[in-house]
Amino acid sequence: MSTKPKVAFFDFASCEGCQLQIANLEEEIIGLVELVDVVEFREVMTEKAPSYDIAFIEGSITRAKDEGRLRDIRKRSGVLVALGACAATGGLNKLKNLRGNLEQVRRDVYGSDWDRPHLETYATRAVGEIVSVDFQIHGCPINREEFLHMVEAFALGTNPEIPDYPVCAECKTAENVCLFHMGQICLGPIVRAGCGAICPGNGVGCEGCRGIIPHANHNAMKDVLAEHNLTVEQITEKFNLFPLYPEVTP
Amino acid sequence: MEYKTIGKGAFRDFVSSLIAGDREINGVVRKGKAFVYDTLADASDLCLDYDETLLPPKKYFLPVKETLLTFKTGDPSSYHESVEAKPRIIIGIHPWDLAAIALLDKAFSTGQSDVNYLSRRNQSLLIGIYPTRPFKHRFSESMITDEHYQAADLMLVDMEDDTYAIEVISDKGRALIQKSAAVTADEHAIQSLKRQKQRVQDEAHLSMPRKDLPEFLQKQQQSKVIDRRAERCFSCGSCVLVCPTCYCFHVEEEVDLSLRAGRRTRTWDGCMMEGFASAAGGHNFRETPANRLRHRVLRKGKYLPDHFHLPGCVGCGRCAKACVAGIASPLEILNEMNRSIYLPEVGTLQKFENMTDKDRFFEFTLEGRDLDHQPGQFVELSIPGIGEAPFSISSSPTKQGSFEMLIRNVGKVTEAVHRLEPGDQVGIRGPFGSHFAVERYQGKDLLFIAGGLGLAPLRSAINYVMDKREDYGRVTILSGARDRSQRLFPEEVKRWSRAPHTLVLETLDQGDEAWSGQTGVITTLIPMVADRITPSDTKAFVVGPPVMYRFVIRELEALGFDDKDILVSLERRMECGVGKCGHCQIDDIYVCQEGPVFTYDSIRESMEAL
Repeated sequence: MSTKPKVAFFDFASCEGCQLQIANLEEEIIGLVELVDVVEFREVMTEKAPSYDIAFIEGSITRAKDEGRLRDIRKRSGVLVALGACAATGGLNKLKNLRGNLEQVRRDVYGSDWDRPHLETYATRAVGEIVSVDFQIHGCPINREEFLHMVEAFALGTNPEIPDYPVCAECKTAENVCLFHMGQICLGPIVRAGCGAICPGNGVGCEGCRGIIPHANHNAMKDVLAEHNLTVEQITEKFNLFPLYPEVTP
Repeated sequence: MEYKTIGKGAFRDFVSSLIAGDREINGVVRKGKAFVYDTLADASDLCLDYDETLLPPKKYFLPVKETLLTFKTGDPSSYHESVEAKPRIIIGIHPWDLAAIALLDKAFSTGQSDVNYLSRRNQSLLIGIYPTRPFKHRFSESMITDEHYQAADLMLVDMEDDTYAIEVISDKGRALIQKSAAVTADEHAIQSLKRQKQRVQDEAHLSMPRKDLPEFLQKQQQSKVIDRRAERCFSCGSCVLVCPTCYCFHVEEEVDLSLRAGRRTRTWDGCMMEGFASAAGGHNFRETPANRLRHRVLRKGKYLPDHFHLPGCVGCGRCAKACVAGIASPLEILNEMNRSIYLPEVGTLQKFENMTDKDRFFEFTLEGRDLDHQPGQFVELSIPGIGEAPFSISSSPTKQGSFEMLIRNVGKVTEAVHRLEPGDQVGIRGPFGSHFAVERYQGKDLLFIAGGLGLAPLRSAINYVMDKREDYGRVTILSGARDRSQRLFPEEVKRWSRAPHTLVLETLDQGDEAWSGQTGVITTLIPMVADRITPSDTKAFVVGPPVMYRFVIRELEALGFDDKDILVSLERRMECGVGKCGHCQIDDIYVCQEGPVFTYDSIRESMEAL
């Protein structure tokens, strides 16, 4: 069984919720370990390996010293996959970048301990802003089905297909009542589907964890949100919860 | 036609007996404040008094996703067909959804038969119902007639007296309803049934007969209505995914986690989504939202009716409701395309400033769109109760959000325009006419010659060039006014003169002691700039009072200009703006259509032009 691809999982700044999704695959996990050889996965095992065919990186890069570790993993990996919103786009961790003054951020979060050396921080970067990324698995957290689909595609040697249409399409086929018709607002028209429209299906507007689709009509989105009585500040806040648009990093 | 009646309680009992049988029973049920088709577990869940379901009943014949083939990985001989079908009865289908099923039946049986669809369809029995509630987006009366929904086996009519009347349409329907407590309807019931089924009327209607649509749309392929609406399109596919007549799908291969076996599936897809027409190699054959919206509208209104001789759109209005951007309604699109050419849209005066004693400079906006004009074009402006008149546009297309016009108070419409205050509304039609095609003259030298008010239309072209200054060679602007009080846009003239490789010369017919510039008619400026002009590499734009043209053109020809490099704009009485009324005609040319901008060589031989 030595021909099975060697797979490893690594985490940076994140809640590890995406790895937890994988650990929680239950029935499918047996099929999964038939398919690949998991050589490093801190959530479920303690072994280490020198090199990997596929490395899954969870989390974003939020301090200078993590860059070295990430570059080292990149060197030792065939395919490198950004796993989840934090790795793929920077995710919620990028909210702090909007504050500008990171010393103040540390004071607000850590109080009197703010200047202890291990609490060092810099402007959050997505994995792809440090090393080259071969594939992204979107979502906060990731969709397990999509993760399995990706792993299968890697094992078959084909490129995984991920949706390039917006969440609205999945709401329609799931027969969700459009939240705009219930007086709520939703970023579904510009955000990448693939989540099964799980949030709108449960009555919560899409917040954009899977990032925007290619050629998203953001002007129309702004107009529609404004027509639903959102102020410019509220619209900006919506777009910034997950970093839907590239920001200028210091 | 055979008619029956049945009490609502007896009908519910009948549905219960069907549920207890071996067929799957589907019907309309509530989902929050909305309605959907679902499998009935209890007859009391059935809700036949509904406005519209989120998805049409199509999903039972063409599931959102289904397996077409199964296979073993790497073994082409293992492909095996897969058809999942079971007998079912669907209760509560509106007439337009039945008409849509009739179209799908034809689409899946014409040419090669699609067994997956047809085997499900052939095992189904459809019980329709005439609408009981209005739905503001619906326009089915314009799209379908009785003969289009013969796909039904039975049609229910809610008689509003706790009974349903039933039209028995097929033998299958007759056999089924015989098992219920329904009795033959008497003459009185038949008469009131006919009234009752017409009870709910559409609020909106198509402004032309449906049968005219294919020919009409053939001529509307370039319609700006599509482009304008597509600007707001999210390419989300909602309009096509909720459509009862859309049946396009995407085929893909899925492999089990074992990698040893898998299946080929088909999933609903739609032409409004960006990737629909993309192919390997990175080509997308319908790249823009406008390309896609055009295809959707033509497919519904022309291609499907041409192929199948049935309505391609049944007017259910689901797409209009589902579209968050509010652009999808076929009714609105078609009626907007079919709007009277004489119908203005609303423009709002934003601000004005006085330019001379008689000239005022106005800035207008349209609701929901840019004017989208070209330099040199004009609009027709209406004041209700006074009338309509043509005005050239003074602002550059590079200025987005509003447009500007310089209007001299000389007649009844202009007098009324001068009385407008910011916030007042006017009617606007246009833009109309040919334009100064400056976008085609990149790299050329440009010579603008304006006499008096002629600077108003030329300003549109000049500001366009100034906004893209690096795209052009030397620019020379000659402008003449009667006296110092009649100079137009003095601040901008100053700004133009400071642009690189740009010379601006002004002259006044009558100077005064405060005027240090040139005096004399405009032709006196031409020799002064002759040394910076290379006629073979220069386009000249000439606009001014009628008397000016002959003299200016003579000078330009003397410099060596070819007549095709001299562009003029002619003023005529353009009453309709759309090439019909005849007032603007020069010989056999309609100035509002082929003009107002002409190359001099195209009108040189015309008796009436200059």
